[in-house]
Amino acid sequence: MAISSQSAKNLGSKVLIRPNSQTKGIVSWLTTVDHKRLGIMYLVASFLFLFTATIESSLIRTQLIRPNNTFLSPEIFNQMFTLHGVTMVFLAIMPMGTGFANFLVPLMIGARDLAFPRLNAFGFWIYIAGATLFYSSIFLGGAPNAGWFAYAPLTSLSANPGHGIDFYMIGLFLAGMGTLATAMNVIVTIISMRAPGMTLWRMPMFIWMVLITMFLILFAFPPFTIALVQVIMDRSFGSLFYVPEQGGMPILWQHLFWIFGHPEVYIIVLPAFGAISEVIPAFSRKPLSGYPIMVFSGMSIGFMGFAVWAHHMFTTGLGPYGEMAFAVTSFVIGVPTGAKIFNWVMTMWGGKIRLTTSMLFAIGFIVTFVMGGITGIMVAISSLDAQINSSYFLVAHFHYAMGGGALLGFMAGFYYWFPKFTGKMLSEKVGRFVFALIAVGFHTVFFPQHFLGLMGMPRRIQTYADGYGFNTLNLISTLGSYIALVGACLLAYDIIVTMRSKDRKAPNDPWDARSLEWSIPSPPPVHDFDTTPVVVGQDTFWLEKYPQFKNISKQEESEIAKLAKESDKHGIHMPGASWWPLITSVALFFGGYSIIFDNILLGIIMAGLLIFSVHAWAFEGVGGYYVTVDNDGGKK
Amino acid sequence: MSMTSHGYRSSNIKDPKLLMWIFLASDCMFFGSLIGTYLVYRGRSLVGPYPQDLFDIPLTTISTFVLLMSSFLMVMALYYLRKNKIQSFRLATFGVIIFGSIFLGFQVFEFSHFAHEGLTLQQNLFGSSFYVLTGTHGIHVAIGVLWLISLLITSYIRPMTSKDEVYLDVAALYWHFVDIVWIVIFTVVYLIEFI
Amino acid sequence: MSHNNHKGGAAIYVITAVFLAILTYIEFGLIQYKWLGDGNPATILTIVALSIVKFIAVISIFMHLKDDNKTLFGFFAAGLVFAFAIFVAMSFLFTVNSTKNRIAAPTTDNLSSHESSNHNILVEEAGFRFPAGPKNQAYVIERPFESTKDYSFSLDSSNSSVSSPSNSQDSVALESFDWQELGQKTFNSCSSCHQATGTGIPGAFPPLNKNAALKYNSDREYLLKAVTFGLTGEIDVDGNSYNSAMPAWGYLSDEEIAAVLNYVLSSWDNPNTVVNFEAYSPNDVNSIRALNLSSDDTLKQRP
Repeated sequence: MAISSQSAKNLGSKVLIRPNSQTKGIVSWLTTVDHKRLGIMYLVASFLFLFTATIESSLIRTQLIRPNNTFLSPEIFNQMFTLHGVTMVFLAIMPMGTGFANFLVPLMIGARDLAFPRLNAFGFWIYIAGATLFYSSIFLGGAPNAGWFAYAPLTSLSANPGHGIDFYMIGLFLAGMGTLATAMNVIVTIISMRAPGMTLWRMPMFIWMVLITMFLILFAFPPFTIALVQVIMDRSFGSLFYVPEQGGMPILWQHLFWIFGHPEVYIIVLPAFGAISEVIPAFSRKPLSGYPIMVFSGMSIGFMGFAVWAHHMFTTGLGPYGEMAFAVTSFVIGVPTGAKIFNWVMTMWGGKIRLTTSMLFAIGFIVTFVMGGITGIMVAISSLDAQINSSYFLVAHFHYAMGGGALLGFMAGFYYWFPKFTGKMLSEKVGRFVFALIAVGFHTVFFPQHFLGLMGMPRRIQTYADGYGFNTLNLISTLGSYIALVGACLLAYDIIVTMRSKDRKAPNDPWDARSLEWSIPSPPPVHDFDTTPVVVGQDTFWLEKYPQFKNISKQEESEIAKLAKESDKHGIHMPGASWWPLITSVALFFGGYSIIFDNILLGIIMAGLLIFSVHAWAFEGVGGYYVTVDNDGGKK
Repeated sequence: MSMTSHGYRSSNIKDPKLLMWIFLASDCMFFGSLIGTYLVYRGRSLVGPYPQDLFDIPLTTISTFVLLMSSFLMVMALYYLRKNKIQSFRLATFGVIIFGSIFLGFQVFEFSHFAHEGLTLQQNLFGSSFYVLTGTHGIHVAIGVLWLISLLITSYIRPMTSKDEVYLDVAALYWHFVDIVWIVIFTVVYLIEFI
Repeated sequence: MSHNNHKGGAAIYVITAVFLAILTYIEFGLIQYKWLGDGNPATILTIVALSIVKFIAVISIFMHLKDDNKTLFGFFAAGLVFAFAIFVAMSFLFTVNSTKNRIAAPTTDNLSSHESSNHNILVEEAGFRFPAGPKNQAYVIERPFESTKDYSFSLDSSNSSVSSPSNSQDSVALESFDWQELGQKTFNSCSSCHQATGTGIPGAFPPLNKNAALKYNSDREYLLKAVTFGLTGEIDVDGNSYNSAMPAWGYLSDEEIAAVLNYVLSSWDNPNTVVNFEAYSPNDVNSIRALNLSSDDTLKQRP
């Protein structure tokens, strides 16, 4: 493999030397534009936040272990559930989906990187900047304490004079920018950079789900961003959007938040659906059942996701017509979700099932998500919702949907793709224990909470009095959270052991799997594919291994192969690393502080740095180098 | 902006252009939220001044006209670049920058006039929602002006040809979008008040 | 005229620009010179139609979406449709406006339809309530703990000394009317706007301190009317303008209204300003009820 560098002299590289393909060490990670490295950094960061949020939830549960407990003060308790919610939703599970997408989208569609590699790096660094800014609140006067949806007017300056809320608003504003940038990037990649022969209807289901997710992000984040801006304006510049004394309507925040918030649920869960749709066929040795139904149900979930937001607001008085309309749409959205469940079960039906850890998680996902879905239909009944809204029933419901659904789905994907990410195999033996502990722990935490909610225990209370009959169920629930925490620690231990061991090398295709990413070494080389892949159908790698299943005319296949050969003549161009995405994020990061602490000087400096770095970025050009693959070393 | 793959592509749309259109689709939701907020708060201010007291339709019509004409010059700049007429391209781009700046000038004048009349961000809901909506639009225009200035300078430091069309095309799409958003704001915020 | 189909000639751009300029001028004329007459509903339709035409012209010709890839059109149309549909739906939910009734104090636009707080629910179920008009909207959130207090109080009072309006006159003798404690409790409903010490909120809610005493001096019955029937519109207090809506509190009992007024007139600086204070009695309230005024009438009768 030979590498030739193509250096560019420009504005940017006069200031900071642009790293090239020989750069090693920390600088190469800070400036990387490689989708695999960024994907791994996304996954590492999201797992760290996942662990943090799990510890926070254990603290919450410890406070609730017995009545009248004083382990956490009410103020700390408020901060704790806010941190837990925000971390889980915005900093752990959603970036986990982005991380999977980052690593896998180019590999699964046969591309060599995302369409805009530096934009991708910016998306990652601005997410880290937002997360860091958000968490720095702990050291700078107290974390936000208004819950993960930060209802106005709890966030108003008069109700919440500390800086905590500012950190929430600006932290999520920055992280949201990154999410939007990455979403646009991934959409362009999927549309423009598929390998020859990969028509839309031959894309792996994971890619379909990611594509739909990214469109959801595209349309869901703007209302939220505007709502954040409005609160920032209220708090820092004295506008009146959510000041009831001046006619401001806090209900507007709820609308804008949930117009974003409900699609957000699908943003979190659809990539997990995609991962499951890869795992189950691979371990059932059958193609995915009902591929077009899966695609269309994904699309209709995405579409309907924008038409159900007000079911979070049944108790705010929408009027009978509003409640009726949103109750009906909420019932309807259960239909495509149900179709997906049936398809997964149909895929397993009659297949040769191998119960690997990944498959166990996938089955656990189906069971758990069905339970979350059924309670979801229950709370969609607006009259029932009036009774159980803001009770522990709701807590149980959305943890079954998001925690049990999305998280178990991602765990299945994590065990499935870990060999491809790292080139090492996780231990299947330990994996079984991890699965057992997490699944049992999860259900022990949340199943009793259904009953607590129906008995009338409100969510977000710091403690409860003795004698309401809450004691036993709360104790069980808390013990369950410790079981899940042990499972998480065991997983962390197994990852560390695996990464340090020398003899757990993963083969290219450990699972006898179906899609393109398994056709290349584990971990993949920097340029991903030696030659442009030729896609001959759904599950193209499976067809390559087992040509008897091919269903494509000789002529079409040779035309596709010709296109791929043609494409190879252009050589393999890799984009150059760059400092500017990082520096742009740093400028926005400190710019956030300048708004929080009203520091105009810092704001001006950072605005200057922002304008400069964006220009340096634009004029730097793609840069990069060419990779030439020797004929012998090409395919291993 | 960059195109990394020189080989096979599964669509014939250039990446930057596709990115810009996707961004604009997303921007629709941004302005949708802002205009939605403005409409929800319309008529709910507890104290004056109210829109009818302040809006000056002749003035706003002129600034609308200026922005429309900048859009026209923008499309001409793109046309000249395609024809490789660099001098005309520069002249047209310069015109867009000037017209954009005039629009911003009108907006600064309007804001300071309104503030003088007692409408501040902190005065009432109309002030809050009006300034945030039109301010966001103004920031969009300002970014567009900066972007075009950068492109204009670029055309002096390195030869620009019709190959660079896509970069100008993307900037132009952005500029026209800012223009159509103003068409909506002009109607929904300004004109409706006087019917 | 150049007809270069492939790249598009410059002439089409010039024509479009002129066309856009003319449309803008027509819009201007419709508003400024009222070409279609003043208040003609056709004006609004024409304006919206013209804007849509302008919008489409810029998109299809300047942004050359007309000849471009259909995918781009699909994306952009999706964004537009989503934005339009979602925010129209959202605005509609505000127009239906029962939101306001459930968590807010009752406002002017539903005064006539209910007299008792229990009827609130029925009013909500009736659904469609369009705002009475601009500028009059008040949106007041009662703090939850305060409303709880009120509620528990009224439960207690239902079978103690204070009884419902219908049979109050005979059972409560004037001298036995003990308004001190009742007035203070009832004032919890007022303090969310007028504030605990009667200072009010500039621009929105007038002060009660001093102001109420002055009104008492000029027209003793006016205060009863304002509380019982509400007050809507712009008023002037000490040279400051207040524009908001005071809800009608007619659903309170006679005792509560009398007690809260007595409480206000005998609190803060008011005792120094009020001339010849004579406590309101429940009977005073009852006789005012018969007037059956609207909140606009109260404004007209303001001394």
